Amino acid sequence: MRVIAGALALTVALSAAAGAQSNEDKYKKKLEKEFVSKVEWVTSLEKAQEAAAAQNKLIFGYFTRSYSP
Amino acid sequence: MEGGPLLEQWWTEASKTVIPYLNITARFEGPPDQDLLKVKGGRGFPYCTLMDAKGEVIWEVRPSGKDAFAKGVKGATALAKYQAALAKDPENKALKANVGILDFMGRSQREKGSTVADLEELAKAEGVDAEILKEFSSIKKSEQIMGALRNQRRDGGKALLDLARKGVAPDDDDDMATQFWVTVTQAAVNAKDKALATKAVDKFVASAKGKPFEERAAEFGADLKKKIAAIPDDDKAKDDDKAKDGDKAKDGDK
Repeated sequence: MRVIAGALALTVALSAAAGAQSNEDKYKKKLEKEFVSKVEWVTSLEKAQEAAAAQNKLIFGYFTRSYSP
Repeated sequence: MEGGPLLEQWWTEASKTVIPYLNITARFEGPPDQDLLKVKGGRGFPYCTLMDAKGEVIWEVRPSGKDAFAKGVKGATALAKYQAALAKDPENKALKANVGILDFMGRSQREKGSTVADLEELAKAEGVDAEILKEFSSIKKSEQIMGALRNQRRDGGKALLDLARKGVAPDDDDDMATQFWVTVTQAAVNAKDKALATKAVDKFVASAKGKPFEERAAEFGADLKKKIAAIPDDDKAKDDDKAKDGDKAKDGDK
């Protein structure tokens, strides 16, 4: 019984690790997409705000996700 | 978006007029500014906004094309200008109207702070920006049409038919045009209004030009035209109605 429970816990832990890894991979893949390289995106809102204030421009925010298509 | 407009040359040029900020929700620790979507008022991905230098959302805009994006930037810039003026002169009714109408226009995902009826009152003030008033007329028309479209299952398109008879219709390039005109066609066929059905079916087919469903719309339009052809001509229908009225009158005499 203990062996089964241990195996189950290990499976869950490995799945979680694989999921986290997978989300990192997906994020990296997202950053490699062509639309990212087309424009000089700022990825920190704080820096975007500083640039907007300095250049008297609006910020265009594009909110997307990488964990799911 | 990412496989279409955001790859186009106009966007590369337009992005230079703003500070382009990319926020990717990644569901792991590390990437910057996680979980900002809801904080900024977004209800789903992708969410596209124009924000001020404080990071406050001013206007929601989908960069679906050069003109749509430019219109959003123009609206957001005007709203920021009028908000600043209103902050200095909070009782100014014209400024309240300008801000109220523009704010309404700039909200597609965020909850609207006022209703069209509220804005109608504000718009009565003297000195409201003429261009904003013109936009407000468009909003009122769209609201009427959207309300009628929402009701079409309940009333069989009667409200849409009434709008079309009054000459209220979406612009030809409006996304609602196809649904509006096909429903008006069907309602006009049911009401045996041959003239309106004939006009509506042509508008319906034309509205689908260049869209993925163009072919299906053409086929459906052809089917509808057969139904329209089966409606008696207006004059004949009127004559038939008169004849019926005459028969009723005779029956009444008896």
